[in-house]
Parts: sequence; structure tokens; C-alpha cells
Amino acid sequence: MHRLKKFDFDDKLYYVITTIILTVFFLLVLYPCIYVISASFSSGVAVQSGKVVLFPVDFSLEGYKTVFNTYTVWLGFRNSLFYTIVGTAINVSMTLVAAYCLSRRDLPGRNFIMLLFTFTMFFSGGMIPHYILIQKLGFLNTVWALLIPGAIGAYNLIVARTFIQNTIPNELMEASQIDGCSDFTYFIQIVLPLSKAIIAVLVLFYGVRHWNSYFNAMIYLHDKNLYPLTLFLREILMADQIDPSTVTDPELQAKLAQTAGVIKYALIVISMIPVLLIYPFIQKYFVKGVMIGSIKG
Amino acid sequence: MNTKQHSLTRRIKLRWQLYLMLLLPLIYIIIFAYVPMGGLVIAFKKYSVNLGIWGSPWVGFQNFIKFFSSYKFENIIRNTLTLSLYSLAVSFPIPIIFALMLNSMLNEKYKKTIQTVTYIPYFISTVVMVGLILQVLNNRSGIYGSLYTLFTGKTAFNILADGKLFKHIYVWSGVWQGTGYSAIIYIAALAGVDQSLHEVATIDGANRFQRLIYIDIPAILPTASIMLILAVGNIMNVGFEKVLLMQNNLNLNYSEIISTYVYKVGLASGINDFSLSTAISMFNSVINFILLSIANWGSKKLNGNGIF
Amino acid sequence: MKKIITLCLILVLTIVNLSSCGPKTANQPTDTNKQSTQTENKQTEASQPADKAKTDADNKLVVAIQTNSFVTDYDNNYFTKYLEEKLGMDIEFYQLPSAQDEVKTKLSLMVTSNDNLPDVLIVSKVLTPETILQYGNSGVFMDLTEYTKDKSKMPNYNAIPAEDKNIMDATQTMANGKMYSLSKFEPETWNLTPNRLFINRAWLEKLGLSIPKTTDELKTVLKAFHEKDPNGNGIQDEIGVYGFQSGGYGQNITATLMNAFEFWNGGSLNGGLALSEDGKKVIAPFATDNFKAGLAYMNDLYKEGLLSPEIFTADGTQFKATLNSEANIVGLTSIGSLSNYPDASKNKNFLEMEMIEPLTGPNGLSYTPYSDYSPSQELFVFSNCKNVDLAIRFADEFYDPYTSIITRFGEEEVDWTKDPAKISSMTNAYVVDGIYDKVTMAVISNFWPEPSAQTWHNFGPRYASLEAANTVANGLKPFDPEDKTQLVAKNYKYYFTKHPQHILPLLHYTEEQVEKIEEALANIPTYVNQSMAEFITGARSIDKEWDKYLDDLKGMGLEEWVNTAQEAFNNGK
Repeated sequence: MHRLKKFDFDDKLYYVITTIILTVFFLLVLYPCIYVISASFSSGVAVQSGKVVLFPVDFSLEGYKTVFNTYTVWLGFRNSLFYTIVGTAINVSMTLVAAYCLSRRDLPGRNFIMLLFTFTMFFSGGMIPHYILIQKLGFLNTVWALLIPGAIGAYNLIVARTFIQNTIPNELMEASQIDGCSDFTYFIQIVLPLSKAIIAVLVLFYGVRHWNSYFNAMIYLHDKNLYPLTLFLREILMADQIDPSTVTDPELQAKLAQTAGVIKYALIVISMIPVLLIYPFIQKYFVKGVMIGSIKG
Repeated sequence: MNTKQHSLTRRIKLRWQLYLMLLLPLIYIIIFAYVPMGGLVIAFKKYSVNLGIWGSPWVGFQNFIKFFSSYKFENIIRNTLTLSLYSLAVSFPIPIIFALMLNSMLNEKYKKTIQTVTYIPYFISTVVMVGLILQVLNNRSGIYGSLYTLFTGKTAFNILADGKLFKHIYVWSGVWQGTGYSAIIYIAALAGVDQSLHEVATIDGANRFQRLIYIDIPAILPTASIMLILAVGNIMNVGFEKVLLMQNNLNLNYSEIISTYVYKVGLASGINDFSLSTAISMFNSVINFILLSIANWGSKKLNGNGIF
Repeated sequence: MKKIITLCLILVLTIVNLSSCGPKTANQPTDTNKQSTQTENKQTEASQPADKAKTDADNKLVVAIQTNSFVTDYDNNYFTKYLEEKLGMDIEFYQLPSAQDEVKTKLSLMVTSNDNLPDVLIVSKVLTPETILQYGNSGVFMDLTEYTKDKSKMPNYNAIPAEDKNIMDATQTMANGKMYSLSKFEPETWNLTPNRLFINRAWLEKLGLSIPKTTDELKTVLKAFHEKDPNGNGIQDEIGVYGFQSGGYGQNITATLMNAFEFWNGGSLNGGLALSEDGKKVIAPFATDNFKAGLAYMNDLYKEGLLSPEIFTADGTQFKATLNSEANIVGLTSIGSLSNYPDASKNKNFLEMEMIEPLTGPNGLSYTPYSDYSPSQELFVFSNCKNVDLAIRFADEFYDPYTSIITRFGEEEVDWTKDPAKISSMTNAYVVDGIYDKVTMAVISNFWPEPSAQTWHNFGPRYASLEAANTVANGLKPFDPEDKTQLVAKNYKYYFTKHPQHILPLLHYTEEQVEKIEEALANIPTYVNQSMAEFITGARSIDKEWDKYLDDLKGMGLEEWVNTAQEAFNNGK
């Protein structure tokens, strides 16, 4: 009885300490989020001259108005959604299949194949050969240029494989093999349903990468109708990063930066909405992982 | 010997479905990763636009020598390593601790809120984030300066002007921005922990901290080892854009890294030297790959977790 | 074999993609449908005049141009329509990114294969002479030398007054004597001397001081600013000298002040090299004793607390924040654009400031950072262009006087007017000051600072004389001589002549030369700025380490750089 009380005290202390630490960190991280939102509702002048600290200054909807009236932004938004959804679907299916196969300890040569994948994480031929390849395949200036290259990220493959290897008990496979289950049906019927957590993680990782990527679009596309949102966002973000001494008319550049400043934060907020909306859905699947434990038990 | 070989072919035959499933991903990386990898040869050539990759003349190790003998070589290598090792030492464990703490929180709602909010800053672009860092740390108008003046009545010391502080600002602002996102993988792994283990341990009289040590940590150890190996294999890569934006003339001795330096040389001459940049990235990759292999080997010896 | 594999791959991927996520892929077919209907629409639109179908193929140019946040649409654009109609041609756009690094990257990838290139390239100040020469030598860009000399091919270009055309020719001629570009010539004086000094006149008046003319007088004034609390808030928060060193448009006050000791363009052109007094020798101003004296002066100001160390750590936002703080805290600053003070004509802090002439140093020098006007090279023709004649006609059209107005000012009678009845009563700062007789045209719309589909926002070649640029009136807002933001004429008087007689023009290096000096080009200007920051803030001692600084410069290849620059300068003469 006496001992139990001591534990209670320890637990209380533990919870108090963790709550304090997490709350402090939470507040620290909350700050940039609030800042970006406040800035998006402030006048461009206030943002540009560093007047926004925590709350909106000279409350204004100017930025949002401009963004909502710009057709290209919506076009970009639609394109980005398309690239993200289709691209992520390709990524996740390819990665899961490979990760499952490579998680099987009874697969001869799996370390070598894994090495093959890992190697691509470090050594790539660089921009030129990739560009030539995309051109030869006829993907240039098509949606395929953004969907196909990078369909398997070695990093995510490794993460997924580790996950499958460690959460799906080996006994389960042995049992299913005794039942005459083939490797393929085992994957479909047992592994996939048990991998919801890692699928959620992969969807998140790949989805975020697609949503944020701009470089491939920048080099492979030249039709504005195919541009993702990030290219428009980048144009705006870079506008006040350009060194005025390198442009023909620096006075104009200074004004351009000001115009860009008005819509910059509104555009950032809008571009973050999808990644925010998807997170709660992803979070739900994290808890489903509990199931694995019960099967194991 | 003969029987062994026999059994290997048998084992391969037995797993034909797996190989079939692997076929598509393998073909894929061969076409999209290994075929273009031939382009690496330009590191040993003097790439010229009209001659193309294969037609350009060979120059041996000239590009590497050019890089090694560049004026600031020692300095930029030192800065690169300082930033990346410091970053690794801090940014690797913190997300794990964060995930463990978060996982143990009782209030589900608060837990979810923290989780979502800490994940957001990752999506704020580097340009905006660096602007924000400079604003917060401004010794007059920033939060730092204002608080300092409020408490002491004096103008604060300009911490952005001290080059020695650059690495701290760089690394800790990275923690600020990235912890929530990096913790996701651990949070997902912790979600998979068998709750009955916790129940049993509680009945046995273990407190929450002990359960964290004996149940939660072993549960994420495999994931953590893999993440560590991957992080070690990423040592030569330091966030180029962030460093470039954070540089000023008073911290340049501490903030010039390989990638920013190469960028500036290219900018000044106006010519994209693909051969040189390929040589440098190859140099980085080789080091990264060696480090990764060592870490992989070590991890396998220690706890049996490895990539290959 | 590879092709078959690729085909299979695409097929399988499509299937995987279709089967793996049923509802999501609903997007995809609709999307492609939409695109095909879009192109169909375009085609029907284009082929409506039946006879035009044939000419489409012959009369089409693919023009690669940077995206620009000020141009909402290139296709449905007044200027595009104007060109297409006037030249009886069809323009198809090939979009390039807007950021300069990115254009360069994309371009260097595009040229890896010669078969899918556009016909014409229009970029603004993206390509350095060295890159142009490299692309020219490797046959990516077409040599335009002959065309520019041919009156029948380029009538408008050849109609440009010789004096100005020579400047354009000189800019366009690369180190190998060939021209690969056509340039934009539109000089004006405001941008050539951006380092304008502004002093806090309100403080001067309050303390009964007069405007400082020399560096010594400035120090006395700054001391008073610092010690006597002129903003009257009881806190010693006044900054004497403020600016930001990495600013690109006049904000680098260390360069502004340095020019009272030694002429130095601040590194904005040729890495900061200059010419000797007789205009014959290339020199490095940042390695002279005068430069050292300038550093010592600024270090002295720093030690007395009159020069803020934030000059070296601020970025654009922080700079503006300090200029616009609640109570004005800045005594002296240097800016190019008044937009550093938002809404300047009503900005309380700006109205306290007054532009002053460059300061005179102890040796009687009184310069301002300056570089000669150099046209920007804007239009290039790719060698694989199938319809060269059309491309040349297209390029030459930009130099047509009327087109030259449209490309910058938009549509006649909508955006601008030359109607004598309307402009006779108008004036501008130059005319009021007697520099010119009368205005020649007036801007009557606000399209320029707002995103629109009127023009290409002045991308592309153009010709406008200095007089044409300085005699434009603002038809929307009558000229008000009392307006404190109308500084162009004053700037002309105070700053325009404050530079040595001989100025080093933009040097054109050959590929071999650039290879020799590229590291010096990258390292030295950065090192100079870094050392200035360290010397001024006392992180390094000027007395003890100046020689080491010179040695370091030598080690980075200063000598070879100066010699190579001399070669290039002689070659360009």
C-alpha cells in the first residue's frame, strides 16, 4: 500500500514535467503559425516594414482578395491536387509492394536488392541525364514528368520495410503458410490490412513531397496551364529575394517586391490548408496500429 | 556444397511471387535511377553544351582537384561538418523524446492539438522562416530585443553579429521548425505498441516513466536505429537555402558551407559548371555512403537492425 | 529493347494507378478530357479564318519568355495581339521561370538537345556576357552580327541614332567580336546613382545644426544626434548612421561613405574594379590607402557608437522596420528607392528626412557609387529557328518607335497619350528644373504597377532615348513641386556628375579568361565586404591587419584578375 502511493507520486511528477515541457514547446511552435496567419490579414506595408509581431496590424483582406481573383492560382491549386493525389497513389502502391517483398527475411538476395535501392539515395546522375531521359520518353511538358520520376523513394522504402518487418509478427506468416496462403494473397489479405499506420505515414510523406515540390515542375514544364501551385508561390516568394542590383530597373523591382508582399502570406496560408486538412485523417490510422498487438497476443 | 546450392535455387523458386512483385519496382529504378547514373561521368570530364555528356573531353580528376584546392576548402569543410554533426546530435534525439512524451500524455485532445500544431511549421517555406528568425532575434525591434530592453532597460547585444553563434541559431531554429514533422514516424511506431503490455506492467507496479523506458523505447528502437543510420548517411548535406539566407558578412567565416560556396562561384562567373558541381556532389555522396555503410554495419552488430 | 520496357512500364503504371485508387483517378480522365477539349478549342479558334491555316505553320514563332507576376496572361494580351496583327504572325509561348537562377538552370538543360528548342528567347538581365559567349560559341544562339548591319533586314534597328546605337552595339558585341543578342536601351538617371544620402532634417533644426558637407562635419552632427536625444523620447535610441550592407539598391551605406575617400562602385559592376585617373589602367580601389582611410573613418564612427552594427546583420524587412519605427531613430541613411518608406509622401519619418549631396572627404573627394548605363541584352535567336527571317522581323519590330512605346507604356489613349491638347498643360520635375523644354507624352493609366494583360511588362528589346524617358509626364497626378518625393531632378543635380571622368565599362571576358579568374571573381568581392564589416566593427584591427588583408587578396588571385580585366578592357576598346 505504501509503495503504491509512492508510484502515484512519481507518476504525477512525471505527468507534470512532461506537460510543462510539451506546453512550452507547443507555445514556441505556435508562434510562427500565428505569425503567418496574422501577416496574411495585415496590410502589405505593415508586413514589409516588420510591424507585425503577433496580431494583425492594419487589418486587411487585400492579400486574399488578390489571390482569390487570380485565375492562375486556382489553376495551380487544381493541378497541385491532381499531381499530389495521383502521384501519391503511384508512390504508395509501388513502395508498399517493394517494402513488403524486402521485409521477408526468407527472400534470397534481399540485402543485395535493398543495397540497389539504397544506392540510388546517394548517387544520381544529376540534372542533365534526367532531363534527357524525360525528353526521350516524351514526358517533357506533360503531367507524367511530375508523376513518374521518383515513384519510389529509397528513404520511404526503408522506413516502410522497417515498419512492416517490426510490426507484423513472423508467426503470422508461418501460420498462413501452413494454411496454404501464397505470398501474394498473404500480402493482400494479411499485410495490407495490418499496415494502415505505415500506409498513412507513406501517404503523408509522399503527399507532402508532391504538394511542396517545385523543382521538377520548373525544369520539365513550360506550359502555364500545367504549373502546380508551388511555382506560383515561388514566383511570389522570390520576388523580394531578387537582388535589385541585378535587374534592369531596380526601382521597379522594389515596387514589385511590395506588391508581392501583399499576397505572399495569403498564398502561404492557402497553400497550407490541404496539408492541414489531411493530418487528422492520417492521425486516425496511427491508433489502428493497436490491432497488431492484439493479434500478436 | 551441392546440396546447399540446390537448396538456394529451391528457395528462390519457392519465392517466385515475391520476385514477380519486385519486378516493376526494379525495372523502375533501373530506368529512372541507374540509366541516368551514367551521367556521373561528367565529374571526370569538362562538360560542354554542344558536345554532350559522351562527347565532352576527359579531364581525369581535375574537377576534384579544383575543388580541393579552392581557396576556402578547409574552412568550408569544417563549417559543413560542424553544422551537420551538431544538427545530428540535436535533431535526432529531440523528436524521439518529443514523441515519447507526447505518447504518454493523458489528455487526448490536448495531445492531438500539440501534434497538429507542431507539424505545421515544417510547411512554412525557408524564405519566410529565415525572415521570421531574423525578425525575432533583432536586438531592437525583435521579441528578443524588446524583452531584453524591458527587463534591463538597455539595448540588447546583437547576437546575429557574432559569427560563433551562427551554428546555435541554425540548429535550434531547425528544431523549432522540424521536430513535429520528424516525430511523426515515431508517433506512428508508438501507436503500434501493445496496450496489454502497459496494463500488465501497471499491475506489476511500474510507474509511467519506467514503462516508457522498458516498453515504449524498445518498441521504437528498430525505427530509431534505421533513422539514425539514414541521418548519418546524410551528414554532408546541410540545408543550402537556409544557410544562404542566414549568412551575413559578420558570420561568413562560420556559415560558408560547401553548397553555398559552389553556388557563389557559379554565380560570379555566370557559367553553370556542371562538371564541377557533379564532382562535388559525388564527393559528398561517397562520404555519405561510406558513413552510412559503417553505421549500418555497427547497428547490425549492436542490435540486429540494418538496412542491408 | 529499352523502349519496350519503357512502354510496359508506363502501361503497368497506368493500370496500377487506375486500379489502386478507384474514386481518386476519376480526376485523371476528366483532366485529360479537359485538356484535349481545350486544345481543340484553340485549334478551332485559330483556324476560323480558313486561309490562315496554311500560314500558321509558316508564320509561327515559339517565344520562350519568363513568367512575370505582373503579366496575368501572355496569350490574351494586348501587346501579343498587336504584334501578331502587325506582323501577320502567330506567337506561341514557352514559359520560363521568373527567378534568374532558375531560368539559367532551365536554359542550360533545354540546350542539352537541339531539337526541341523554341525559336526566340526573351529574358531580362539573366545571361552574363560569359554565358552568352559560351552559348554562342557552342552554336546554341545564332550569330546576329550580319543582320544588325543590314538596313533591309532590320530597318528599325538601323534607324536608331548613331550615338545610342554605338552603345548598344558595344554591349551586344562579345569578346569574340560577334553579336548574339539584341538589347534594350532606355537610360534614365535615377537608377544610375542609387546611393542617395538622407539626413534627418528635423533633428538638425531642433539642435540648430546645418547640413554637413564634409565627413568631419558629419561626425560632429552625428555626435549631437547621439547625445542630445533629438527625438525627445528620453531614451538614447538614436542611430547615427544606418543602412544595410547586403542591400542591392543604394542601402549599402558603407559604400556610400567610402566614396568620400575613394571612388568604388560598391561591387555592383565588374566586382568593384575601376579605372585609373587617366582612364588607361584597371585598378582595384578596395586595395588602396584611401580605402583604408575610409575604413578607419567608419571604424571611428562605430567606436563612438555613431554607426550601427545592424548595418551588417539586417535584411530588407529589418531595415524597413528600423526606418519606420514609431519614433524616428535614424539620423543618416542611404537608400535607392523611396519605397523603403511605405507611402513616402505621407510617411511621417520620411518627411523628416532630406536628401543631401555626397559628402566631401579629407582629400576633397566627393563621389557616389556609379556605373555607366549599360543596355541589357534581352532577345536571342536559337540556331535551330526554322524561320529566321520572321524571327528577325519580329525582333526588329521592338525597335519601331511606336512599338517601343507600347512595350513599356501600353495602349495608346488608354494607358498613355501624345495628344498635344492633353499634354500641353502638363509638366514634370525635369521640365520644371529647366533640364528639358516640355513633356512629350503622358501616362494616363495605372496599369504599370498592377498585374494586367496589357503588355509583356517591358520584357524584350526596346529603344528610348534619355530625353524620351525624362520627358514623360504623369497624367494621373499633376506635378506638385512641393511634393517631397519628387526627387528625380534634385538627384540629377546632386549625384549624376559625382564620379570620375573615366568609368570602367562592363567587361566582356572570353571563356578562357573567365575560367582563369572565376574563383577570384567569386571570392574577392565577398571577402572585401566581409573584411569591411570586420574592420569597421573592430573585429579586426585596421592598423595591424591591413597588410594581411592585402596579402589575402593577393592569395585569392587579385593580380591575375586585374591583369585579365585589363586585357578584356583593352580588347573592348
